[in-house]
Amino acid sequence: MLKKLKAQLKQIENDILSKTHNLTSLFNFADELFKEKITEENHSLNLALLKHLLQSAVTLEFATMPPYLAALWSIKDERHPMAASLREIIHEEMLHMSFACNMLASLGEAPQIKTAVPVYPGKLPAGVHPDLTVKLSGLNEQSIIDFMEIEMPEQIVPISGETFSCDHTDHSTVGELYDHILTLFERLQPELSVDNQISGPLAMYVVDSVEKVRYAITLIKRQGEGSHGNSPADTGMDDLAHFYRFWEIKKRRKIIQCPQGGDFIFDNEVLPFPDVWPMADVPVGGYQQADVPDEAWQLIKRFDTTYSEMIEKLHGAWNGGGQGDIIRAHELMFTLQKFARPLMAIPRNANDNSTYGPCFRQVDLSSSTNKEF
Amino acid sequence: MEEQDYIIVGSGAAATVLAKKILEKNPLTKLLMLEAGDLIPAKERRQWWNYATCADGPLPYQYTYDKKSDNQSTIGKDKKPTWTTSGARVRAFGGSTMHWGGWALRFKPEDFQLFTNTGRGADWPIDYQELEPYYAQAEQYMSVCGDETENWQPRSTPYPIPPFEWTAADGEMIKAFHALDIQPGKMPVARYRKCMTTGTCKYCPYGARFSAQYVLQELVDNRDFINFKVLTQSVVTNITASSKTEISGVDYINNQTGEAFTVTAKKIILCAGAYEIPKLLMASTSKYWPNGMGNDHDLVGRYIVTHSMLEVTGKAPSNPHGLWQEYDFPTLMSRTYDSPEQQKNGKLFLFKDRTRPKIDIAQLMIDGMSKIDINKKIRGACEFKLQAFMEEVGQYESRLSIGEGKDRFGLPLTKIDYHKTDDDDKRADTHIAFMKTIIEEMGLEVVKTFKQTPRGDHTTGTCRMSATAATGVTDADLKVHNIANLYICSNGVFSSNSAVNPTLTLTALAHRLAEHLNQQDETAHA
Amino acid sequence: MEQENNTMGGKLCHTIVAPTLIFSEPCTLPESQIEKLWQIFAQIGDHWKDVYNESKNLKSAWLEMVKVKTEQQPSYSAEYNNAILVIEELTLLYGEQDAYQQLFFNYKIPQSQAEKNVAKPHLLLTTLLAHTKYYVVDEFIRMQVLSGGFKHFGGQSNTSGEVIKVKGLNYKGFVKGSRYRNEDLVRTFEPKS
Repeated sequence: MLKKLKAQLKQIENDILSKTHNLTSLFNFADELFKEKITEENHSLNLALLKHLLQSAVTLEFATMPPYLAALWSIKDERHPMAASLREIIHEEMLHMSFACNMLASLGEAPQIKTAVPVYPGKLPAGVHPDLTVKLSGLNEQSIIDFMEIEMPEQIVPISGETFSCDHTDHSTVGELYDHILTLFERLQPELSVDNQISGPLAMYVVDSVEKVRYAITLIKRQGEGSHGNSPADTGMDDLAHFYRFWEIKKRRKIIQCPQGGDFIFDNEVLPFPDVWPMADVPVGGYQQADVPDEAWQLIKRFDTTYSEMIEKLHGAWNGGGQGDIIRAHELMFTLQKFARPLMAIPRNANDNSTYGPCFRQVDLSSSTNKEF
Repeated sequence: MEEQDYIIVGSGAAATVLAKKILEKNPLTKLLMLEAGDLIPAKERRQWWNYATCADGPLPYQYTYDKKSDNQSTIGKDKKPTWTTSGARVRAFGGSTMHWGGWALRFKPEDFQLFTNTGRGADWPIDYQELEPYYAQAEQYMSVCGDETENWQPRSTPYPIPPFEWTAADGEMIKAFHALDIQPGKMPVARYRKCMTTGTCKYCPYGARFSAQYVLQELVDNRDFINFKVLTQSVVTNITASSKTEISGVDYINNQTGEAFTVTAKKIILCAGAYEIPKLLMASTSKYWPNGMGNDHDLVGRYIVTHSMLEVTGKAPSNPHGLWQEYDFPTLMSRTYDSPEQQKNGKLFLFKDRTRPKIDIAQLMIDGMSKIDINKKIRGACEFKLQAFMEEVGQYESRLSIGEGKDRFGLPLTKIDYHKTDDDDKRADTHIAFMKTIIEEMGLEVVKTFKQTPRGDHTTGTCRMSATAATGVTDADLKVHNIANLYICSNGVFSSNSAVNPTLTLTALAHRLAEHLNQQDETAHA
Repeated sequence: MEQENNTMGGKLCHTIVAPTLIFSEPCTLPESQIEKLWQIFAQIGDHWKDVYNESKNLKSAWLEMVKVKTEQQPSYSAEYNNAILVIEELTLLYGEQDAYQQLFFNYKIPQSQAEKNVAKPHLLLTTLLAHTKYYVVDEFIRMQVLSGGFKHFGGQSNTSGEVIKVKGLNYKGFVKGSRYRNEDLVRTFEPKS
């Protein structure tokens, strides 16, 4: 049995190296492992799985941020309530990623960020929602539906009797991923080191016990999908889980709770949809210099360079760079919109009145054509 | 070096706006910026930790401050210097916005017509409406967070970012304001969205408090601006006139090597601040300008004025909510007495001292206090302080001139002969008496009042704008009167000082001048 | 040369040195030394009980501070190594708990007249114990407070001295967060209706 499990793990690791792994295979492996208690022989297998799952979580949380950022920046009025809602979602995704990194670092494993940067348009990492192709576009009807699919909980509470469905059928969720992570922590009860963990405004606390892991995962799931099978009100009606926030944007209505029955409905008052830049979906491979006007290219190039620097610092923060790197990463994150917003105002030479948008490409910083800004 | 299109002397707030706008319009502009100070890195982690944890909280630019021993201002009747300079300015790449608090307030319409309204001081040759669109640009550029619904003055655009809200520690003073019919307002501050409220604005680890240094560094790093050069440690000693109405270039010394250079330019913009510009003009004598450039009417350096800070401290018997400073800038202010009605009596700009109640928990621990005792002390007696800038009017007799000797940058020392009127002292006393009523309305006991000796942070007037050469140094376009290609962009050009900080107005003027120069260049090339 | 009037410590503690930072070349402290230094830091939280559980949340920031202070000029490496030795001596003499108790709450760096006399620098002398207090303990305290230790002070307290109502949310040096987060950045003014 042990031999079979070791072979299974090896296959998974080969898939990871070739970036073809998916959560289903990891969950299947987990199911096999969970049939037996922890022993000295299978301890390393459980630990290896936990690390792979955590790395998947890191990559996944990171992967949601670029499309959400593109949508946020497409909103012209930064003070619009929908912009505020999106911004909070992004902050929470950052928090989730930081927690995932901390959990991985607590096991003595360095999170990989710069070697696992997603490409857009593309699939989410680790085969999550495999039918969904995530694009970089402005805030529009399709992007909202895509975001809802990303954040879809295992059980959706109906609002005004409606539920959410999309064309895609395979919905292995991020929530399941964290459930497996928690199970493994509880099984292994590992000794956790705080040495390479980060705490601060976007990484609330370090995880130095399984109890803290449990708190972190509970928070991640509540913020992302909502409480399991329970009501959106659990997180507070002004602090809905991401899925329900996107639903509010889609319906242009706030979700409120009926006083007696406790049912959830969409409010009658219509929320104005913000004025947005008509950002076109960024094409496969991103925009190339030869295809865009120089004004746009300068912004695209500077964006990609700054984005790549940000990734370096983010990666560095949990790989020895510590607090200094995360502060610089935060600063660079804020700098990105300096290029993104003006870019979204530049019309493309297409007949659809669309505009350009950031490509979120990782570039080689050692190249002489790229430079820190 | 070949002839430049522009030489900009200085590298601070005004210089940076001008360089940015000129280069963005024409990236190939040959623009040389000469800065006497050095490049001091920003956002450097060791420097930040030194500031935050060392006993004296050192800041890396403090060495550029004027030394107290360099003060050559005249001595007043009280046997003290009439003017102090130490701590007022930073001499470095990026200038004094390296250390400023970031308070970004517009002047008000009546400030531009001080003489017409009061019979004192001078009118600007432009009015508020003319400058208004540039105020809007400046606020966008500096990322000013403010509340436009307060309606302190007419404005065409909202602030780019919402204001910082009042803190709990502002509460009692807000109530006192209301009781005395003083409208409380939220201090507009220049902070980018990335502000993480670390309270270490003097050396912001995120670069969130606006500083010209960040903008200037981006310009330097921009490979499109291939003819843009900033030379630090380069002290301009003379402006060369080629005729009575034209200048040809500047002489400067490289402080590291001691070598002297001459460089020519089509246009020169002096952005070296209200002290250095008049000294440079006075030093630039020639057959065309025997009294110094632009100084035929002996007005260069005159009318120097600043804001004296007034303070009233009140003691509260206890601090039951355990409040302390949480931001490094004031959030509560009022411009009720910065008004057309008050202008005749001298305006007053009120704000709550951000540092009160002053609680240094770490120091109490360092002194060996237990937690219970520290909490008792926190909740014990404490102070609140009301501060104000008082508007003062520059006098003809008040003058900045070249002092004896040079400072460590090779710049001539500054002599200031500052004169106040008796009215100024009476006015200050009246204001302090009024401020006491506010403190007493808070239920506090007044324990201290203070009138600051004028300090150079908000120095204006030394090259003031005027309609004619007989009454000032620069014209409405900031060009030195009768010189076709010499401009000044500095607080020194202000014809009046209002009661609020000058930097936003300076930045607005710089935006306006940049537009003017770009239009000129476009016309010339057409 | 003036004697200090504080008798805490042994021979090492009372070794006389100049008051300025002990010179050392920038270097990376070995992990074992960092861990010992960390214990000094963690004791601050233990003695003032101003961290929520223990000091671990502050470690990443503390590690960065130690790193930049030792790996860049002027380096604190010698001061940190000295502090470890001083604590070891104090622990041997008084036991760990008492050593820190005395160091934190009783020891005062002597203020001699000579220290104000800058014209005679040869008189500006102090001890290794004073160095530990000034360059290590005091700076660690400042770091600890600004990184989160302040949260257990302020606010309203009950008759037993326990803080029961809104404590400080922000403090000079604390990285609270950007303006667009859910939670308040500072204690804000709440007008009563």
